[in-house]
Amino acid sequence: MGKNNNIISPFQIGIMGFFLGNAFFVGMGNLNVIALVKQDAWISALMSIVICLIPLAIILYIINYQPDKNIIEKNKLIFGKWIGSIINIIMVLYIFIIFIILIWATTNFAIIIYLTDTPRPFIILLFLLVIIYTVIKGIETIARTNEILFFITITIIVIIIIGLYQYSDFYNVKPIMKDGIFPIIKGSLLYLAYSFPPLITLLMIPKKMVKNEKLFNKSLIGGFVFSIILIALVFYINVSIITANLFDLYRMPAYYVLKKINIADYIDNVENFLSLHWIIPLFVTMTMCLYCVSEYIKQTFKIKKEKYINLSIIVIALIAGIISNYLFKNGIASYVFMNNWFPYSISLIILIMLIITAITIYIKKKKANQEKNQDSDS
Amino acid sequence: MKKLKLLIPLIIIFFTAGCWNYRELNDLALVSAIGIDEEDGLYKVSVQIMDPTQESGGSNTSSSSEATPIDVHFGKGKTIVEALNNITLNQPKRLFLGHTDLIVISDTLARKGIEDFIDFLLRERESRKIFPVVIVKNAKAIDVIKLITSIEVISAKSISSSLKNTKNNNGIVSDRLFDEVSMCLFMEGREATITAMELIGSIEQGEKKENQSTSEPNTTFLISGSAVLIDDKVIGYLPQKESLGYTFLRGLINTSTISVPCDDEGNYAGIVLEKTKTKLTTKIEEDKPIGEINIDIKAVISEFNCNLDLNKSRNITKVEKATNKEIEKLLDDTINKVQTDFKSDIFGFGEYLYKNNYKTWQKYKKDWNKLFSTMPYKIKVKTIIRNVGTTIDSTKNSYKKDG
Repeated sequence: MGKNNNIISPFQIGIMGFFLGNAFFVGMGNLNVIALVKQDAWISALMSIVICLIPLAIILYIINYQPDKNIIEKNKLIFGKWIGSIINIIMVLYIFIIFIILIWATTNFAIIIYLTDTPRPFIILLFLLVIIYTVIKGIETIARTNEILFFITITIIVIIIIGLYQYSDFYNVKPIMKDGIFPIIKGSLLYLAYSFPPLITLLMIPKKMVKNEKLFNKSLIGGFVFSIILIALVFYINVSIITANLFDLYRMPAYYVLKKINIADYIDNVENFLSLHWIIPLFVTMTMCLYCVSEYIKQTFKIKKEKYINLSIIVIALIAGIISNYLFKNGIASYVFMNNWFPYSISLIILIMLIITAITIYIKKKKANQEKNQDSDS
Repeated sequence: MKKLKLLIPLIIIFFTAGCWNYRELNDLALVSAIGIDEEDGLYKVSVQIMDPTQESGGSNTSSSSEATPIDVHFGKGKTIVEALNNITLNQPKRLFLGHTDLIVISDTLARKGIEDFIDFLLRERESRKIFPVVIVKNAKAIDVIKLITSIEVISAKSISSSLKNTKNNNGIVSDRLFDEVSMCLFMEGREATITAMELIGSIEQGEKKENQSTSEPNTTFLISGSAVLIDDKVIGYLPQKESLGYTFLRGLINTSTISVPCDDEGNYAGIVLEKTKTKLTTKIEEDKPIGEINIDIKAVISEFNCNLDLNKSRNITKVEKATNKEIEKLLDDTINKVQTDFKSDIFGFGEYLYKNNYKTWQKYKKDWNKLFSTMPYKIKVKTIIRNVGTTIDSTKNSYKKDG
């Protein structure tokens, strides 16, 4: 195993923001947004840029505080040893839950599209093996892998846009805002609920680990906003081709639209290859989740030996895999969960935790400044 | 640890082989067309299974040359899935729908409604959902499935290619693919249409191999127009001429040809319509909807048998005007027929209101088809002749000049 210097570039951080931002939209969140706002889903997505910047700003605020520490250390510093540890446990538990949901989403996607007869446990194992291997290699490898995957994703997206452009008709997106602005705002909030939770995994990366710290914020905001624009584009293209009614009907509407791609009678029947770009954000997010949980275990139990660190990664991944196998009874159950439970029981609580942390940091900073001023006065 | 490192790639290789979903081609029955009929209150689903060796023209053995290029099997059931499942009772292979080229529905069934089995086709994973759907008017769906055609050995391919060519070069039908039909079923303000076809000749002769080997087949198919639906039920058919008018009004024409009377002696000019742009709008005047149709056409003269000197630009304008008049008449006849015979807004006047004036649409949507049936409309066609082909004047005219 080669030695890592554990340094990542701002561009790689931006890429992480890009992938983490759209992980929950693969076969899960997208259906709920469409069901709520129909043909205006793309407007909802664009509108959510403004709303989504709020939790992102909070995350950046936390990251910028004590840039040499990760969130585990920061929480202990901010809240004290005991409360900090409890908050850490809650946070890691949520990341673990996100990991489990995403394993389910990935395997469900694979079962619907590629491996219809393969038992779920084997598909879970197939993905977990790659994720475990990447996480064992460390954050630098994760970041570099993401960079390669980003370019693959962009290439696929360009092919998709070229292939589908001819079918896209703005007329199908009409009527715009037929039920007024409120459903669109509601859709934006739903969008917020699905897009920001995976971003908390970035809190585990100390800012000092990034090569050019000054570009950290810009890169992350850029990557995240790009992911939202991309989702808006996906909504727009799909609705403008098959209308919101059919989009709402299909379990994997975007995959179905890909079947139409035929570039110059030469590039045809490529939907399975092109659908890879949905697996990539899921893979990246799952990798980041596993990385966070393993880092927490490593730091909490002060594991130093590489052998035991690796073993802990494998054990965590396998436990998540086993739970995800029994997570939802069927696709409908996941759909109901994502619509009725996820925004309140996961997104909202994570947001509250982030707000509390940010406020505490703000108070601490203020106090520290006041003390500094008093010292300088005296 | 080293052993573990070696073991991981080995496990990955083992699991990524993808054997679970692997199926030998020999074990699959490649379905090229599905026919759906109704018999004794049950769905009767017939499948056309293609022989890939015959399609590629690979086998020349005597046994295979005597065999038909397709096998047809059918099953009955309360649902399409049950009927398809029952097909395995009399044929040994697993049905594979990923290569389906055509769906044929019988007229009897289509008149009762197509919604139920559309659900199966939407839900089904293997099929690509971009195959054409046709309704057979004068026969059962299974008769089309059994048909042996010349030129293309697989009749499903023959029909779907014919539909594609008709769409690209003729315009009578617009190659209604399954996804477009299902989209129309869910669309507000526009009723669906499906391509209609007929069998010409003896149905019994059509399923024999000899039908393929004669220069003039005993039985063949004819794309005869479009079926008009209200909700999911077929209520009637548009003949070829009105079907062309329909594709005009929907702006679905790629290229088409019309014959335009161009002088007082009963001569005609053959005009190829190369580019058409349709704008269909609905206005509300005095609380009543009024339709407006504007069509811009770029055309080419491909045949000119009239006594007009095409060197003079006013004669070109004359042909343009005649073309406008001819198309306006075609569109008028089409709308008139649909309004009086079917009372079904297949053109999308209601859809225009729904998309552009949602509040007004809410007011009218309940009785829209009724309102449509008496709705006044204005048609405006503007043709520009861009080219006159490789000659300028008509041969008839230059012959007269020389004389």
